[in-house]
Amino acid sequence: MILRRNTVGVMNRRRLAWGFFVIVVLFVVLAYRLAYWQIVRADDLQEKAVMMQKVDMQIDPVRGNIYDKDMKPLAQTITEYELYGYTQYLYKSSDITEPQRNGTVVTLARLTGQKKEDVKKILESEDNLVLIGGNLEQADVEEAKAIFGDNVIVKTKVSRSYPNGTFASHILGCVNEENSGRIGLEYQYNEILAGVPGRVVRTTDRDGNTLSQGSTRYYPAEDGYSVVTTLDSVVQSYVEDEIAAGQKYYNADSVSCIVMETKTGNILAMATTPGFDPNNAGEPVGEDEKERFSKLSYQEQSEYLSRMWTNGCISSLYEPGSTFKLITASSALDSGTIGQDYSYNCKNYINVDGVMLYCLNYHTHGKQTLTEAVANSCNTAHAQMALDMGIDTYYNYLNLYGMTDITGIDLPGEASPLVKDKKTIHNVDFATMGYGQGISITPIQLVTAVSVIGNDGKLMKPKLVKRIIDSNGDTVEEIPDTVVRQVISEESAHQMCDVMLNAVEDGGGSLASVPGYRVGGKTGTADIPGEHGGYSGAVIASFIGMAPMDNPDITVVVIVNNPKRHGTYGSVVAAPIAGRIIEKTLEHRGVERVYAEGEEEATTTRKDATVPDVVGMNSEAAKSEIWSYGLRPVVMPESTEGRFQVVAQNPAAGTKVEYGSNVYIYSE
Amino acid sequence: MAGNKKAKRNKTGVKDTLFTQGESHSLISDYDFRIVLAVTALVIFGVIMVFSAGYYQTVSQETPDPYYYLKRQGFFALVGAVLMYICARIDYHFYKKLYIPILLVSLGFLIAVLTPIGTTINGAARYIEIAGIRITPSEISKLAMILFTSVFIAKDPLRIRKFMTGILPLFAIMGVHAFLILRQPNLSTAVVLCAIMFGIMIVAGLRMWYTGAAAGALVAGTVYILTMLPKTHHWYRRLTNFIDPFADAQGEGYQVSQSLIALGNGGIKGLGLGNSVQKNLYLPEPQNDFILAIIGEELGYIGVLILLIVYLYLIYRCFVVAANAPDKLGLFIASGVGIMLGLQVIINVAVVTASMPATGITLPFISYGGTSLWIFMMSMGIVLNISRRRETAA
Repeated sequence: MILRRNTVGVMNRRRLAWGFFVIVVLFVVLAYRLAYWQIVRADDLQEKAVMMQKVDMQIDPVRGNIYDKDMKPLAQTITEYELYGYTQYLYKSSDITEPQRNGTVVTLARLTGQKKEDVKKILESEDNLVLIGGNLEQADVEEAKAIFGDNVIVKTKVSRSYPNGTFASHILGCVNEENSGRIGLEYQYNEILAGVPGRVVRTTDRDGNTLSQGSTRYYPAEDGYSVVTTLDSVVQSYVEDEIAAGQKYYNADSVSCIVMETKTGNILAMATTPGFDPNNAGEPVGEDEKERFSKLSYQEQSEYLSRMWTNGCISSLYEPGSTFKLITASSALDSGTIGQDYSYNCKNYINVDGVMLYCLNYHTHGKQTLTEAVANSCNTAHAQMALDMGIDTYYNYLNLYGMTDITGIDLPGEASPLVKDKKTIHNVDFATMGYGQGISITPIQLVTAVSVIGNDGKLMKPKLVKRIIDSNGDTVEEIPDTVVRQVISEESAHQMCDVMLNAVEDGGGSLASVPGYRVGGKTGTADIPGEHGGYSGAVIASFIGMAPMDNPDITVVVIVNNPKRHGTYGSVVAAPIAGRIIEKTLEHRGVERVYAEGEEEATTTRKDATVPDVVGMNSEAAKSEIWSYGLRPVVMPESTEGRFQVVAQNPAAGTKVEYGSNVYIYSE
Repeated sequence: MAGNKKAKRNKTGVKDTLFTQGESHSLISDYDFRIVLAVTALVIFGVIMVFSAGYYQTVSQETPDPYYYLKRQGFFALVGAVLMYICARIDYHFYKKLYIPILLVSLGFLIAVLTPIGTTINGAARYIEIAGIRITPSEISKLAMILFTSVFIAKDPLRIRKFMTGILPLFAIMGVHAFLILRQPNLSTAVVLCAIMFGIMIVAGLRMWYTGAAAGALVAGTVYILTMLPKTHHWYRRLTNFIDPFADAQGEGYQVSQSLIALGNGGIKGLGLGNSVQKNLYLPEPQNDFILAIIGEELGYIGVLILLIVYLYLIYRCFVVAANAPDKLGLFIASGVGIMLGLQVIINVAVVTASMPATGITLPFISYGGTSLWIFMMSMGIVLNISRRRETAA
């Protein structure tokens, strides 16, 4: 038997060969398996590897600033430094001697600007890692780092700051938690302000340590650009002061005002009461309001906030009322429907398709020229002008004036006007539209349209941002003034200027007149439409004006929503506010006063407010009382904090002073 | 011309292959120098790869020692070279006298590792520490059982056809070993050990129906696990999880997932020697059983393929030596070593490529560790001795 032999047999070799064959087959299978993972699945696996091994970190860009026209920052990004420390190594460890402890306390107190006792208390805290001080300067935290090394930690906090608080809040808007614009210019120009985030992509080990042989790619962040607005902080503060005082004085729901450069469309100021603090946009301003707010339900709070954030100047529709007569009259004049020799006999009513439309208080104006009809704010005359123009012509002018569309101002949330459809409008509605009823527009539309009259008939596109600059201050983009279109002829515009001037000097707008500045304008009083049709009984008193009329510089609109005290008519309520804003603004802009003959003597400061008696009152009540008289309370000494009992006041009660003057109240 | 060539070939001798026996070696030495070359290449390559794979772990420790693995594995390789030389010089017939002591030593170590003498890692008793050197008894058992089985059959080649006096004793010893190694527990090494013994028996002439029976038992076991056991059972999961390691990439499939990512990351050409990212704490113990993944990542598919070809060549040489061995003892030992080498490479690569359930089988000559390297180098030394030309042959 072959098996018995002690040499390698054929069977042995055959089995060895088979064995080797099996091994080769398995090796080939494994080579295929390897190829599957290393070639077929390589892309997929490499993606997995990258996801696992690469750490992708975002570098936040610095958000650009918002400046006023004189480069004063209105919104800026600031870096705050916070100093944290390990109490164990700085203070508590038994290795540290008492003099060393004292030295540490003294140094930290100096660097964080705190009292020594406070710093000591912090360091004696039970926690090891504590916040020693926040809101610090870079130099101070660097010094702390140099002295205490790893025993302290510096954290930087980038935040958006609005240095002037509520100032121009509706224009600036605010940012959300992610530092992204939520409303206002912050939202409108978010992409420009935000910049482009940078990235660091590192290859790391499993614990996140950067590998020396791995690649680190660094894409630096591109800081956001800054925007330079057309806002004039001085004018803006005039406006904000005036409308705040006006709201108190007339006990109005809100007051809005826009000041626009007539010939450029640049917005110099724009404000609505109440404002909010963009630094803390989620809460109302003022302790009382805050307390009221905190008691609201979530739903109510959110409604409250959206109301508070609404910029009434561009987002709130209202019936312009008589101010709209400027549009009607200029259209009639420009279309040739009426001429220089226009004359209209007002019988206090007009019959339109059997419906009687009346003048205010059924007043009969009698025979009037165009100038007189506007100055008298004659409803029937303007209704007749609309009817004479006809629907096609009038609507054509409404389109030209931009009454049927948004102005395209560079702010988010501009409301679209409500204008009745040209195809279906009845004659009655059409006639009332002639004197500004049955049409809803925004204040920005009116101020833009009326500026046409002062700008030789050209409609400008309103704007808030005039320039975009990079972080070095170099101009990236200049935003030019934009002429939208010629609305009326230059001649018609000049004629309308005279009409406007007359409406202030001899008409209802007289309280807006300013000695030396030839103010032109038109008042308006419109009923606020009720929630269920008809009118609510409340009114909107408004004034649209321009000055000086020989070469208009600014156009101002003031809208007082639901005044409940000291009058309701635009001529009484809105015109004086506009007059004071016009006077201060023109003065600030260096426009010289030109006095007509005999006018100068009449120029005196208007002592139309009487100082109330507030001595002995609670400070908050006193302030509110002073505000309600159209005056401004000032707490003395300035360092006084919290509420107090008023011990003295200046000027004394009963003194006649200029409207808007300061009344000093003393806490001690 | 043709005649001239033929004459020349006759003069230098026919090369020995699996089927033909050459007349003489062309090298100075009597030994199969090709085996020496292949082993040397693999061992040096292994030292480099262990150094590369373990580098990051050693530098990221508290007291960094970047050359830790280079020094250790280099030392193991030098000792291994001495052991290989000694084994090559010892006439393999010497083991004939020692086969009982060898069996006892193997069993002794396997029992010792289960006692408190043995050290436990990851819940498994795997090694014994002697004079600062870790000995893995199950590695020793593999070579010990190659020698024992070979001697046992070679003493009376007819035993392989006798159930009571030949096959049963071998199966019994196989069973005892498997039982002891399973107690560690180390299933994969137990399987490898049984497979090596079974392989030698087949080469010796075991009836082929035994192979069929063994294969049948394997299939039956697999079917039982897959059909009868609940899906949550340890064995069921062990057997099925390997198919998609990414399904549990953070749990049981972690190591294999990381291994596959390393292979894919290397692609065809690899990231370059030393440039593996996966060795940076992602793939646990990259210098051990999963070192092939790091090789694949750094040297790419091409590098791994070359490595596999070198292994295949070395296995081929072992089989050639077996086929041309002077006697049955040489045949059995050399085939046992060839089978051991082939099995371990196949299992290791299969695990790394998620082609079978994960086990702890080292990559011969390359994975970090003294015992494994020494056992393989000693085995190669013995094969070299068998390959030696002897006047007595034929």
